[in-house]
Amino acid sequence: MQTVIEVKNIEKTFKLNKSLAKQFFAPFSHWEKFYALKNISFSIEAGQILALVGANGSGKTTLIRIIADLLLADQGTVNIAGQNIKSNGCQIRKKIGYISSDERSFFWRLTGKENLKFFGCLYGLSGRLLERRIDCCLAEFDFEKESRKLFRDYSAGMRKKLTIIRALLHQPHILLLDEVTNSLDLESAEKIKDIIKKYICAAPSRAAIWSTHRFEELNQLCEKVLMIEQGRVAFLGNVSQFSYYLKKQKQLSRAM
Amino acid sequence: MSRRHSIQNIFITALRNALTFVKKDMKIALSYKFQFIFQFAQIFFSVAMIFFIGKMLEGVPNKHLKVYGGDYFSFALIGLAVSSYLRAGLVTITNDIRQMMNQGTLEAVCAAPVKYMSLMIYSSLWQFLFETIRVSAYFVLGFSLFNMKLQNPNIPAAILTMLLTAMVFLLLGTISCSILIVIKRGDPINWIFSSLGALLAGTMFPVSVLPGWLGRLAMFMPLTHGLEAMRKTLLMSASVSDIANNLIALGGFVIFLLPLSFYINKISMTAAKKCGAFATH
Repeated sequence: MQTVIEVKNIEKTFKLNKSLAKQFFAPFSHWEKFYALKNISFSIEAGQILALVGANGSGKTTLIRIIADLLLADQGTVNIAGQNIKSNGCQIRKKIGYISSDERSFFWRLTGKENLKFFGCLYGLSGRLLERRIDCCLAEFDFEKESRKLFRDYSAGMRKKLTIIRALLHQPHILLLDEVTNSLDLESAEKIKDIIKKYICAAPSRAAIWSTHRFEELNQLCEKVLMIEQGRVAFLGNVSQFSYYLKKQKQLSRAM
Repeated sequence: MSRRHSIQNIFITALRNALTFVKKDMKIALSYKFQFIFQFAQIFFSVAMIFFIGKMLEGVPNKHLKVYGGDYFSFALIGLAVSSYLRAGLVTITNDIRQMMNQGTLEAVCAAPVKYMSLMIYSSLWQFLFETIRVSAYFVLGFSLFNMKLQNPNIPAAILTMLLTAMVFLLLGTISCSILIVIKRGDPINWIFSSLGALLAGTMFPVSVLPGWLGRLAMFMPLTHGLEAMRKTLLMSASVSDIANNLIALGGFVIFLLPLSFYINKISMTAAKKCGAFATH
């Protein structure tokens, strides 16, 4: 099978302000290193959806943003369809559809459709093709009527839907979905899961990373699971192995 | 694909992206109806104020003004109009980028397959277009309501000066925005060229009024050369050779700032990517 995403030994640190006590003992440095990710390696094959799980602050969003070329890793490499992200960033970004957990990332005084036109153009779409793609996506999400409203009047769920539509417009090879079902009602969340699954299966070179807190989504959607704990890989394997791993972890914590 | 075709494609894509940004920014600007109207109303009050100051100085012989034809109203109106490009290049564009950071749009735009330097340039196009309309409004008002007089103006030379000045401020604007994305507030480039520049370049008074050392410092401000060349071409019908020194200085700024802006943009964007600055404000 074709490897679509290959992540090797990714390490990412951030500088954090030192506490006063620590500054007292080392007064000449105000910063301390905080490891957000350490030694992360995995790969995703075409047609796969990888579930990215972990507690809040474990490093899921950091990892997704590194793959989306929005954050630079200190060490390690990310290859997308055989191309290194560091040297081919602009070309690779064309292949990625990034759905951030931040739903505000639109121009508030434009309508949903105007926003889609703007971002569609940035991804190289234009004219009739752009119109057709927008209409097609809006119809699929049953969002035609809402797309005529100004973005500032959207609810959190509507904003999320528009974020997903934006990511699908240019038909990317890779979808990076960061807590995508968070502000959606159950019905919409189910619909979006179906759309994403269909989208990945529709072409042979597509794959996705689905970051979530909801374990029930793993069985429905994903083949592989990557669990991150404090920036390190705690588990990497298939979904059935992950269920076994979780059971074992529970037993261990009870025994302790 | 042939080389010619690929160059053509790059050009078409750039043009399409530029238009997309201009359209988006225009729609946003027009959505603030009152602000849009007041920006033009403000021009009327500024022009009227200069007109009355000019009236006050009428008939008073002034050796500093004599070089520019002696009419303070025309002198100051050109200063005000040209310096509004400085506002577009440095103040308005950085405000727009700051707003995109606060809104969270910057990260979404940076996730698109467009070079960061191009993004900065596209983001500033509407502002320059809008400032051009405003500059025209200054002159239209000056001519129609306040009897502004230009003596055989050399329009082609004035356009050349304007283009070079706008280019300098566009490059300064991209440098300023690149720095702003990393440091968020308190950009030094903006401060030097907008606050200090407005004082030293002689927007409302001739640079010859300044004490010697300040006058020499003013020569390092691109606005000084832009203003002087504009005034000489519009008020004294100076030819290109008459303003060659100013044009060479402006050209020098472009040659110096062009690679510098690319370099600063590159290192700033790398720094922003290292610390995750696209998503923070």
